[in-house]
Amino acid sequence: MESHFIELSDIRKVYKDKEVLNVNQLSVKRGEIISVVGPSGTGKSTLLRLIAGLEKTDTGEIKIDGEYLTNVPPQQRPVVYMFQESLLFPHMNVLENVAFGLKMAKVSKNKRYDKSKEMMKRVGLEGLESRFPHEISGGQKQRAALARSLIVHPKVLLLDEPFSSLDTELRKETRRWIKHLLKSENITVLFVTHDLEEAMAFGDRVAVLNEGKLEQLDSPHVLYESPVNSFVASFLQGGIWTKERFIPVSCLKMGRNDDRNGKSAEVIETYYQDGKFHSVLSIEHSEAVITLTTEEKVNVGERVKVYEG
Amino acid sequence: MKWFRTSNPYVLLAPAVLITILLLGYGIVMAFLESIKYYNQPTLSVYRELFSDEIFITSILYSLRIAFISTILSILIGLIIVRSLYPILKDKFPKLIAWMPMVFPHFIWGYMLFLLFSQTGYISSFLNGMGLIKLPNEFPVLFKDSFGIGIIITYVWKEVPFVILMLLPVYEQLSNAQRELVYTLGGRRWDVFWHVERPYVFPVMLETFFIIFAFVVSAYEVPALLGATYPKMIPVISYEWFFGSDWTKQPYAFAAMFLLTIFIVLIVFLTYVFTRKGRIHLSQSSGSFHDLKAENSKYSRVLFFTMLGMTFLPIFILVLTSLVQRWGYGELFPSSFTTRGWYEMLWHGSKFTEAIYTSLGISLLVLLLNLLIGLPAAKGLAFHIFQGKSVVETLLLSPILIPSIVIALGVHLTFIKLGIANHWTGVVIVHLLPTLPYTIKVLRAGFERIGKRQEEIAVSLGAGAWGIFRNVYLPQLIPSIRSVVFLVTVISLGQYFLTALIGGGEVNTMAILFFPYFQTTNDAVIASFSILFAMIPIAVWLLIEGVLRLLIPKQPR
Amino acid sequence: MKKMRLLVWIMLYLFVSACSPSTDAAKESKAILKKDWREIEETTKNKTVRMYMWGGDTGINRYMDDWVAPRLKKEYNIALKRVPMDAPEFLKKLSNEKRAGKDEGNMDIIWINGENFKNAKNNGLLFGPFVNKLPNYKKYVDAESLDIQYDFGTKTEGLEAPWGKVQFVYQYDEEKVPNPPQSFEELAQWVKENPGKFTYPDPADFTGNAFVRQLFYESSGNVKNILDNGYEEDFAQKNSVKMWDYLNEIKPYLWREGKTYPNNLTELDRLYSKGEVYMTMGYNEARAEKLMKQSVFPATTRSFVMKSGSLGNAHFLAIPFNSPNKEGAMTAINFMLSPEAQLTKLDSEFWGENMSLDPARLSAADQKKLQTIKRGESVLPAETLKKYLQPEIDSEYVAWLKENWVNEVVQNK
Repeated sequence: MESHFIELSDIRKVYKDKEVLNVNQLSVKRGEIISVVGPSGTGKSTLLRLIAGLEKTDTGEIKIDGEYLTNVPPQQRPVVYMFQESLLFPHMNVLENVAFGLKMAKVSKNKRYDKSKEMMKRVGLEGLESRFPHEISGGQKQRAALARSLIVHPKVLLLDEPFSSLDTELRKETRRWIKHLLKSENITVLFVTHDLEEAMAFGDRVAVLNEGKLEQLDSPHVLYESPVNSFVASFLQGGIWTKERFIPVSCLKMGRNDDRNGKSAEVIETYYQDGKFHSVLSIEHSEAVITLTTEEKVNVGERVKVYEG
Repeated sequence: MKWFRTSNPYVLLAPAVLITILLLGYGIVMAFLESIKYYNQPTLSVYRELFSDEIFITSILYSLRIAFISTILSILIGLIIVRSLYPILKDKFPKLIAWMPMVFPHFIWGYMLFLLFSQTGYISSFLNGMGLIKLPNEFPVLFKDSFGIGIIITYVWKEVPFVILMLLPVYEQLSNAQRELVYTLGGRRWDVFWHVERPYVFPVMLETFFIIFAFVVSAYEVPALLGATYPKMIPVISYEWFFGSDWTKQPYAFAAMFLLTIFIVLIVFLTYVFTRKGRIHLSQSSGSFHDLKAENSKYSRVLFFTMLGMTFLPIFILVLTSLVQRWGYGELFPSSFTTRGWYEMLWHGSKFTEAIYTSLGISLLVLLLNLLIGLPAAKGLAFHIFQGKSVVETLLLSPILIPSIVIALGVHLTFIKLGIANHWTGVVIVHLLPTLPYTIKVLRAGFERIGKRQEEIAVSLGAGAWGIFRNVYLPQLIPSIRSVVFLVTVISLGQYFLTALIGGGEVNTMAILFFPYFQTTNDAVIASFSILFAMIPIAVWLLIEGVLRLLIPKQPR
Repeated sequence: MKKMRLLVWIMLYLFVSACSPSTDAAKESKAILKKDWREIEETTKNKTVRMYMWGGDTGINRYMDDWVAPRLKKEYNIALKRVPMDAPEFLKKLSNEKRAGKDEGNMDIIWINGENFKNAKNNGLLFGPFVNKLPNYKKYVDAESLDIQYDFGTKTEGLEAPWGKVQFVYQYDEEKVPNPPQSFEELAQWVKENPGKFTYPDPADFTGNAFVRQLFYESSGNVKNILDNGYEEDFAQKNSVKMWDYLNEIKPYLWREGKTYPNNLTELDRLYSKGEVYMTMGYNEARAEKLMKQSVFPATTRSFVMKSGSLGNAHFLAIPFNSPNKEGAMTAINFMLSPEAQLTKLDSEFWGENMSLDPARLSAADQKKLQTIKRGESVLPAETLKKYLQPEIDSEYVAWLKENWVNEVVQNK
């Protein structure tokens, strides 16, 4: 059996009598990128903070690269945590920010600045060494924060919605080259996001969390095609459940005023993209929402039938 | 620095709490026992008598009224100044100017204003010289009036800088974006204040209110100097009971001050209980710096120069007075000058140098202890929610809410037993009492401004406790530390009674050497001393500023 | 939790032990008082003597630091350290030390009189009786005289040695007041004719109280009545009617229409210095001299006393029960009672205050020297002062007047 790089078992965390996280088992391979998704408040960030050691687990074990981390202080864990905001230290310039981790590791000044400059070059921040955080743009801040995290060569990088403060285009661009960079460094990553597209694009596998529990951890393809339960299905909007059977979107069609057997649905939004009309449908008598494509335009508010075909 | 590693708030707060309890606890118990005359038959008769004494009741109401008016006015004026001037005031030197009145002890400031505004004061004399008024008694009675106008003016003038010191950090952390958001949503200036500024400003304002209120209602010097014969403020009456010739009156002093103390501490505690929820949100922010923009620069310049004038007019008068031999009423210029005041000060020779060194040494040690105890405590209060937080907050603030004569007896007895009375160690420790609450207050605001996320980032990047403190907190705490240095030296240097009692004549600070001279009639002597006295905290401040520069070569902006 | 428990125990221990002073000090004191003078002087060598005294006058301080201290060092090898502190404060310190059972303090000499002496004596804070050990006391002080036997009605009983004597006089500006009043009646007349130009300090102040006290003497007919009677509240009430009437009568003509009073002598002096009022007052018949020299008072300041009498009292030096150097204190006090020290003190260059010694007992040479000392133009001749001198009464009256003045005068509208 393949040995796992990160292994969590029976992790539990309780805040004020309320269980916020309870993960029986979670394993990640070396170099793998795991996206963590789920409704807000389901313990995504808590999961990361526990791994980083910023908070203590109530029960359970965390093992990274064969080493149990329960009693290892956060400073000595081979893990770096990155927040939503870049959180660069406002009193240091970019170079000093990037070099911070090396300074903590008592690397000599010249050496750490050389390394930091090199890292800055790799993340495309050349020439901004002496700027202060408030003098650079949001995307640059994020790159600087990443550079700061990568310079200590962490075994695991924990990203907590790192792109959420960026606009759509910048966000896509940033995520592409970050993924590229992470892959080329072979870094194991846990990545929290609330954006499904981002999760699918970024992660090798995606973990779906709900109310502190891990519902499913699989590749995007598997998730969409065979969700383990109705929560995952409806959360991903990947299809509908009928009588204990799951029908993925790829096997669904819709028709107007059709007498065929199927489920009634209401059109709640339409948009045109890639040469097709997309219709967002709310299935009656269920919470499921799916998006289907049609050749012809339908109007918002129209009632349609959804059937397998 | 091991304590810095822990995230247990109880451990962080333990030194501050223990030292406060050690210093206060026995003192308060003793004060209460004295007030019920425990050594004879314990009785509450003193309290009963006080409550049926018309003079006492009048005095209580009078004191509360003066304290309330002075405090409200100080806070409002301070708020207006900070709101309009914070972009200017964030620079070191404008800040120092705004703080300047704080380096003068209260009674010196009162005395300066008296020189200016009494019926035969400089302004009246100047008006007479210009032919605008004929006789001194045409000038309005501002001092020693039965309403307490003189007392209020002095306190307001003196406390506004303190309000600035407390509120400035809050305004420096406010976000401009939020402000613009309110404008775009159709809000007016008031809405901006109410929705953007108030949530941050209000808790600090409330605390400032209590600090000033408690101080004004229980401080002795200013009403003793500027108050009318009747009604007298409660501290004046209490001091007469305490230091007066009739020692059987002492229980009354203890009882009066004890009542006052309980009243204030209780109100503060309730306030903490009711406001604690709002405050923790402050520390959860990321702590990014914002660009500061003045709202209306035209007025702010006028305001700044007014403030400049208000600070330097009395100081200028003081310098002048220190050199004037005779300046008759109605003369536009002094008729003769003298250096006698300065000569009298410097005549002390070796005593004088000894006093300077002692004062410097003590204030530096007090400062060091303040930082060692105050930093972890401030961090604990800023970043943690825990059981009994309101109690701890009240306790840590209480030393400045409790008049020193209440606890003097207990502290002195304790220190004699511990063998640190009549010794500088005792003086240093007892100076923690009036300084530590300020240190914790200011540093806590500093920590809240930085936010705790930065520490998590640093931890995750492998920084140890010392590394985090040295690289993340310390550089960003510099503005707060600057305030602490200033406040602590000023307060420590100004301590007369506690220094005299605990130092017992073995520890001769500037205050011990020179305070007695305030009983002379010679204005030149008083003025020279006042200037000299004010120069020491400024010297300490510059010294520390230099050290900080060496320690942390680069500072943001 | 353990820490808390420990803390509680420490507190309890402190509390209990604070209430049980020891009595070893008494034995040690007796041993010292048995020594003969030579022995006492011998044991003081190379030691420090700390003297706690009011420090608000540059002249007095200079007398101590520049004249007394160097001579003590030279002649007795005693290092005299002057500690400026007000009497109520150092007595507070002393009484706390007594309560805490601290038998070895750090104060050797204290400068007190009146109520402070009474409190110190009644609370057992003083060492002695020691004055009869001092050669200069025995030789030069008239120990029989009332103002030395009694300090504000309290028997001194050898617990304090007289350091100086002062008399209560009024100062006025000759230029503005050509004919100063000679009695309280004339004063009232003058005050009415010159509204706003006279006031007196709040009787909570030492000087203000003396002013009212003098009036009380007159109100009760004769000071002998009060002295014979001792302190009695009924007596005070009965005999003070005239005094309150007088004070209320002049009240509307006082400075600020009597709505407020100077809180202390310093304030009254400042008013006088600025010309707001034309008269001031105070103990020490020569007090105006120095202030004139400093141009604080106008150069035309002169003084007068009431024909009905002028209060005079002595002030004293005492030794605390826990002085670590009682021998040194006695040696230093003895030195300060020497004719040389006392004559220098009389010089208004330094202090300008009257001797506590009996002039008749001085050597011929010293008597001559005494006559040559010019005390200044504002000082009344010695004969005049002596003629109107009146003793102080029981210090209980001081407190009584202070309290009742507020009810009778201030609140009387």
